[in-house]
Amino acid sequence: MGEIVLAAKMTHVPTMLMSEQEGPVKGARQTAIDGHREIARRAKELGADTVVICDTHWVVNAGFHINANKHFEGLFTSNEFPQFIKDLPYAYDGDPALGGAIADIATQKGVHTLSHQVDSLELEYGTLVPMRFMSREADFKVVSIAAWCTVHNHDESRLVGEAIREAVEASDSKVLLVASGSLSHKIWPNKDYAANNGTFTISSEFNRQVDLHVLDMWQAGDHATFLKMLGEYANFCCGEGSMHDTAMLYGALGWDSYDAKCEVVTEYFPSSGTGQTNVIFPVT
Amino acid sequence: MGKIVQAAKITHVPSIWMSHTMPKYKGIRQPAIDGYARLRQDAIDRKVDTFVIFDTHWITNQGFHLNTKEHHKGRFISHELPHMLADMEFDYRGDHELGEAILDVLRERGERALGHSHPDMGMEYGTLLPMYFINDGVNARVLPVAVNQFSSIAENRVWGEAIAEAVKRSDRNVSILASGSLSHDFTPNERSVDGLNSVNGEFNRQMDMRVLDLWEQGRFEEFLELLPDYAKKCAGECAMNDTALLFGALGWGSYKGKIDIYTPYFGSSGTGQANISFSV
Repeated sequence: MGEIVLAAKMTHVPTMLMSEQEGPVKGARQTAIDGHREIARRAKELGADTVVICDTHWVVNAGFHINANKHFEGLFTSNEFPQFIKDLPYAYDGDPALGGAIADIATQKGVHTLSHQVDSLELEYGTLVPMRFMSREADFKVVSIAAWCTVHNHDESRLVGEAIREAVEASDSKVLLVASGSLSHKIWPNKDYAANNGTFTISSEFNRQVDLHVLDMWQAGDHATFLKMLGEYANFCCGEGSMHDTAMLYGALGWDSYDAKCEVVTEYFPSSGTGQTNVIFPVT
Repeated sequence: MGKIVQAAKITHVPSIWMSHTMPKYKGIRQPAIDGYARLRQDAIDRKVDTFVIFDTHWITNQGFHLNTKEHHKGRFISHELPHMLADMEFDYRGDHELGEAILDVLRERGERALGHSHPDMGMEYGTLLPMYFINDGVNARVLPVAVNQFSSIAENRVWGEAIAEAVKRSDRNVSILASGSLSHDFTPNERSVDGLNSVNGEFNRQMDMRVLDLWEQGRFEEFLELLPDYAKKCAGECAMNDTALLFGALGWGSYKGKIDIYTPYFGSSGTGQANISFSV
């Protein structure tokens, strides 16, 4: 019987790639890279063979969608930040059966979800950036779920999360579940970016304080209280993809009955105005 | 030379009056009344001559306004919540002289500032409710300061600084009281009765507690950075400009004092409330 062996909320900022290239960002995101590798090591120790990633860079405007091709391979250039992510090579196996099962169960729960196997349907960088660093530790298969949901509510994403858990448990897979997205996500206004050293700063002290407060709540295991404010947090602090990645994560973990204490593996850092971190959600 | 001898951020919720006067609600706001009693004792010990109150219920739309009447006397009923707060007698000396001194500094600094001694100039409960308890038997003068709902945090900082300068030039021992809530998102009317003792929205409650943590840890600069967003996103009472006036008078980011929570955080009709003394 399959299981989710580990869960995490993870950053995917493009500066992680630049951190390994010559230039002004070189070395600056090492703690984030180390965090990805640490999470992958832990997952591997727990027997994980597959990563299911809720990707806040895959925008969807109707229904829920899963990219469950049997293999992904190519060169990726970000259409958002082509100057930051260019010709990134990738090659991972997928898991069509698991993707299909998640879609079926979610649909049975009343949330219309489609699983796709289309070679020209590319992965987004919310999936590719974490996979790049985590794959240094193990050869994980990957299933990517769209989590930038423009017209959806968190209750639906909660059900998708429940479907992830049920599908995994009905499979033979050992899964690392990743919510790939930031905490607050107010990117600096374009004209203010340079003057504020935007790559390395947060755009709002209010957002920074809320983020730090949320991390306190997670580390204390006070998820039930956090979930009462998730909607407003996503709204007031510009949550990435309206934080549907986070709603899916909690759906899979049991929503407000989940009470494990989180472990911050990459200390909170600002990036391009947004608040970032890597946090392990132990599976209980 | 005059000085600020007391500073506080205070609550003024009408349920305090209910707690004090209505048998059905007897005691529901006792911690707030107890907090007022501590502020009253401090005022006596520090020989307060005048309470300058930043009253978020005296809401103005243009400029900076003071109630410079020599005497405030009457019987008050709230037009906002008449069922909660009515028949409050008041009789306080005003402080025309200090009011004029504040206006002088503001005008020197190019600010549009106006004082009003018109006999019909009324009082609001952001001033009257705290004064009923804090000024009881103290007999200090009362100088209400309006809060402009369309002014910026930066303007209120300047106005607060001017108030501090005017106090320095006077011979008064002054208490400055920012009379307003933390988050201020009223419980929707459909649920208003159930919301009497709660904060509307977990986000607001958590942010209020975060702010109190920052204050307790002396992290005022971080607080002042987030204040404009806090006022906006957590529906700050009258844009939280009472708080900006208070910090302006205390030195803004250079303020290094300590807070003392006289009334622990509590919810009231959806809003977040406390009585907090700031060391001076």
